[in-house]
Amino acid sequence: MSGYYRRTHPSSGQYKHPQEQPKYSRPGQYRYPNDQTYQQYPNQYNQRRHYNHNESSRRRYSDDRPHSSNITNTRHSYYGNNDNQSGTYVNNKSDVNNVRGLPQSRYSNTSANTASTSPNTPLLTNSALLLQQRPPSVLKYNTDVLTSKFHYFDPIKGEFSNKDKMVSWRATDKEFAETGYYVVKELQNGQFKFKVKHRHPEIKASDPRNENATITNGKVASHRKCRKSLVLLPRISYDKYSLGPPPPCEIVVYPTQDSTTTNIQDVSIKNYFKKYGEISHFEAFNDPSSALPLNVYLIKYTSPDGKLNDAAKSAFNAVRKHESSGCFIMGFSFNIVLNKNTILNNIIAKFVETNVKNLQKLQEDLKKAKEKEMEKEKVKETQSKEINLPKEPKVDTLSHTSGYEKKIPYDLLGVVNNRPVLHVSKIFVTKHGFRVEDFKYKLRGYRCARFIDHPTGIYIIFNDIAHAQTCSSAESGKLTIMSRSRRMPILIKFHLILPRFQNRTRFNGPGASTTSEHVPVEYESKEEFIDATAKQILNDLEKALHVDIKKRLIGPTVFDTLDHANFPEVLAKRELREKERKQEIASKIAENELKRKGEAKRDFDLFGLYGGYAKSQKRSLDRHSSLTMDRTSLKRKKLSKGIKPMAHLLNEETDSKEATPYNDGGTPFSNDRFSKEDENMTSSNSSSSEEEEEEGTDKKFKSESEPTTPESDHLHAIKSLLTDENGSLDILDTPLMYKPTATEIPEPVYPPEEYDLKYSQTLSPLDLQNAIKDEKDMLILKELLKSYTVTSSSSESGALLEYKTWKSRSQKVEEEKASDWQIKLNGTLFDSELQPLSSFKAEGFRKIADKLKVNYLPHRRKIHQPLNTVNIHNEKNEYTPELSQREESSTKEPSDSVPQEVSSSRDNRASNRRFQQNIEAQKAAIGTESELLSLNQLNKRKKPVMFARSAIHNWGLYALDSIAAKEMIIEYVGERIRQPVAEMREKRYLKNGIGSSYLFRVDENTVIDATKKGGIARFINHCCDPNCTAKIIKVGGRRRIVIYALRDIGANEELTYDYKFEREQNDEERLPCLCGAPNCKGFLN
Amino acid sequence: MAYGVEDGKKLSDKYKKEGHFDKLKRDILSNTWNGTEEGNESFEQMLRDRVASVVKEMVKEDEGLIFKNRGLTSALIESQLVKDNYSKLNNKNDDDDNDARKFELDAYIHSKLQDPKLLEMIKKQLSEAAGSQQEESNGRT
Repeated sequence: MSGYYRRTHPSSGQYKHPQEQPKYSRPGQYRYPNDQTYQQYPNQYNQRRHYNHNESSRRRYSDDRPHSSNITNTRHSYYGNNDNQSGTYVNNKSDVNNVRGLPQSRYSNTSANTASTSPNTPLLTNSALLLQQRPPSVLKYNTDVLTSKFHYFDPIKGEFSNKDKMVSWRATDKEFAETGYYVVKELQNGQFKFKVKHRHPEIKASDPRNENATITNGKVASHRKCRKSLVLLPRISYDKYSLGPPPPCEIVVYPTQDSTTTNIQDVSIKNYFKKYGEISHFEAFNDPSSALPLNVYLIKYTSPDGKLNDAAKSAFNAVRKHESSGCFIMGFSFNIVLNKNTILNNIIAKFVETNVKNLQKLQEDLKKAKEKEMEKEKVKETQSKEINLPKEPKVDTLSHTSGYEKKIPYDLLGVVNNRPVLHVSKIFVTKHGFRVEDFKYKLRGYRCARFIDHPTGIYIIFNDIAHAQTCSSAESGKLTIMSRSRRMPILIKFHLILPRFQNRTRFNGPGASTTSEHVPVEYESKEEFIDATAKQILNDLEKALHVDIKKRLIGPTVFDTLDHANFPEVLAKRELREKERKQEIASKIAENELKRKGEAKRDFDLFGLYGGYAKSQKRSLDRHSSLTMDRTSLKRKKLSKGIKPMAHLLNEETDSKEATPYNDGGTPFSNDRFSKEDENMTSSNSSSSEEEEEEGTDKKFKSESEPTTPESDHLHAIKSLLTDENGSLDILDTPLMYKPTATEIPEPVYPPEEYDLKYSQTLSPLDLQNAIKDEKDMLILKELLKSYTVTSSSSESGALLEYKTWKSRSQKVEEEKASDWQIKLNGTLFDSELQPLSSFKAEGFRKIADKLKVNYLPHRRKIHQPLNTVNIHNEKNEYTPELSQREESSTKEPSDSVPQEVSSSRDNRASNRRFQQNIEAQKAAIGTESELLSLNQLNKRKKPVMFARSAIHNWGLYALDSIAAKEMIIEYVGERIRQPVAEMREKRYLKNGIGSSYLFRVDENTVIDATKKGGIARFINHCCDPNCTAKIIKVGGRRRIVIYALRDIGANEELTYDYKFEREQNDEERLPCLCGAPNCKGFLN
Repeated sequence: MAYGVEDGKKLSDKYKKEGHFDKLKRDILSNTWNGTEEGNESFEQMLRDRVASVVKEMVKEDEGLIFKNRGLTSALIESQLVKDNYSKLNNKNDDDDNDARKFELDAYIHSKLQDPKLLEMIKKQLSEAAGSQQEESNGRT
């Protein structure tokens, strides 16, 4: 704008380029009175410029730069005015300047200059004295060189320095118009050229925009929008470089209309405005007089990450967002403004004031209402005395105000039971989506008996009319509930439905019948009164009579007549019937019994049909007891009866018959001892016929080997046999042992001995001794040995021979014992190397290889050859080597069964789970995290294991029961320590000589140390071919080590897992592996 | 002097308290049936007999009644007898008894109450009571 005007002004060019266009520089250009163009400037603009000059001059006063020469007289006068003004100002403040008598014009002299400026500011006034003492001003540029070159204004003289040389341009240059000229850049033939144009001051300048506007009204439309109001300055973001006060970052939220009933929560407001930025301060204001919320909130935003502008921006946004549309939170409309200066206080003050006014109004209203009521009541009191219900008139008015009489729906009558009811219509309720709960909540302060949601609306039942009335008067038309459809508080009107009077009589009992009559009863005279009373009494009497008849006469009479004694014939009948029935029942029972008996009898017959095979147990038992000799009959499963018509018996008989002659004929046998013995063996094998028992030492052996055989019976039988030599044997008298058996293949009487099975083996004298079991054997032997004569070649005399035979015998016995033990221990015999060649004492010390040690150290046995290394104390396995094989087998079976009752793992786990849940529920009930109830879940799934000496190393863990593959066995329990602690401990243990490491790493930071405190899982040894594996599982957020079975594990098998130690580079530190597995790596690490 | 409802109530209460009411009741119940011409049975006795007979009949019809819960059964029977102005009691007699012995319980009570003598008596007693009441109230005030 200014550029535009400057161009038209000739001085501007001169001012800009004084050297280039010296000819244009005329003194006349400064004469403003002549310069009409200058006057065309808008007045305001002119003043402003003056003002600006004034400002600058004030600042740079002392230095008289050429610039200040522009100031002309007109300006001077302006300054004069200005000075006057300031002078008055100074007068008010201090009289310093006036006392000194300072001249009006500051240009008159230098001293005045300084002095006159000083009043502008009080500070300068103070320094005026100092300034006065300054030296007189000297014109710096008043040199000859400069003055010849430039035109200066001499402030001391008050004129231009080269004034005499200045000439009006109009006088010299005739080519220009007197009015002046201006240069315009014009497009001519595609080139810009400067053109000098004459000025036409007589033509009034006009605003080109206005010209345009006129055109717009006609035809040409401007693309620019016509602005009717000032355009706001763009908001410049506030940062650390910004000057001045920070932009407001607080907003004030206040309700549009002052509704006191808005019970909006502060939180919702806060949450609503949270979306614009981070709130640093939230304040809700209460009415100081009533402490009720004003619903005026101050929200201050903050800039979270150091961006200063953010706070202001969010506040600004929050305001701008709601500028046009308004703010609706939870159905309430709010105004939002930036908190500047005292806006907040003003708003609060306004609300408080309105509240106070409202309160006053309310109080007045209340007073009026009370007065009215009082009046009304007075009127009523004077009108009627006999009205029982004081509330009645009031109710009437209320019902009138409600406009119409509402009736309780028929189906609700019973529920309402003639109680007062407040009703809200269904249409209204459904429209706003109200629920019974809303009313329940809102009317919680009243004594409402019940809330009923009915198709016709919501009914609120009161027990007392007074309560209903107070509620309705206090809340009807005042209570607001947030509408769910409109999100707006809605006023609710209740219709009070009072109990109907005629109904009341029904419910209030007979006493109220007279009182409830609408016409007030009044008696004129005493007679009438007494008459009425008598009637009343008669009425009562009738009622009382009826009641009496009913309760006192009929009731007891009926009760009495119903006595059993009154109806002897009925009773008798009944008794008779009872008897009959009883008899019937008895007969029926008897019949049934008879039937059953008959059936039983038939059963007997049936049994009879099948003969001796389907005998009742009783009978068999009887028979059993009667035959004492049948003790072993059960074993053989053979019932020896008096008559046995079985074919195989005949067979046996022939056998025995054959055997006897064979034996008899066998006398001329060879002298060879072994062959004879063999013969004897075969005979003893094949013959099951009667053999006589040998007496003497042999008998002892026999009794030992056959302890079950009843000796006395046996002997008795033998005696009887001996007496009856002829062969006409009574079969019943033969000892059981020798009795014929009913088996397909004939069985020997004595079970085959060891030497019977191994023919090649040489017989020891002991065997020979054992072989002769009874007298028959002895007889045979004697027969055989008849021909044998002692040869002279045998040097041994009788005593030596006897010793030798004893020695060999005892040795044999010892060996047998040893081997028995060995077999029992290892399952196999000891290695031959271990057999003592001679006495141990004679042999002296010798090293026994580790391999051989396995033979006699049970815990050194290989793990893949499971054997019972575990001794369970309650297991009964005391075997004696003397016991016969048969007995051992019979006793072994019960001992093999599991020592304690172990239920199935599935059941176990199910019950454990239940237990766990139970515990957890209790834990939850207690609420606190107590260690008392913390349950080790893994402990419950543990398998029965126990530790014992191990073949691998020191101790080992053994399964007590067979474990299926992939089942959990045991948890590796120990102290849970951190890595550095573990390292420290490891060193300490090594130092203390605790070689075996029980440290188990869980992860990088955790190690479980079972060295000092830990479960028996630590005894599990390493094996290169393990049957278990250690897994780290998470239980309740903690990592735990659990050992799982890799494969099926038998009972008493040692449990092993791969330690998975890191490979040790230093050979000296490598730990040798002792697992003995076929694929052993040789080292643990 | 005007008398309100309250006064009437008070008076009747007083009347009852003095025992007149109970006496009246007893009189009516113990009165002989149909005056004196028909035996010496009082109304009360009559009623009892009647009820007993009715109940017996009922039992005859259904023997099970005796063997059920006695209290419950008696209550049920009682309500049945009382129903419809003692219709059961009244009608039972029609079958085997003559008209003279017709048992009209309701009617009997009605007639007794309609007796002008009774009314007179009550009035008299009432006025006495009222007088005494008045005195009492006066004395109090």
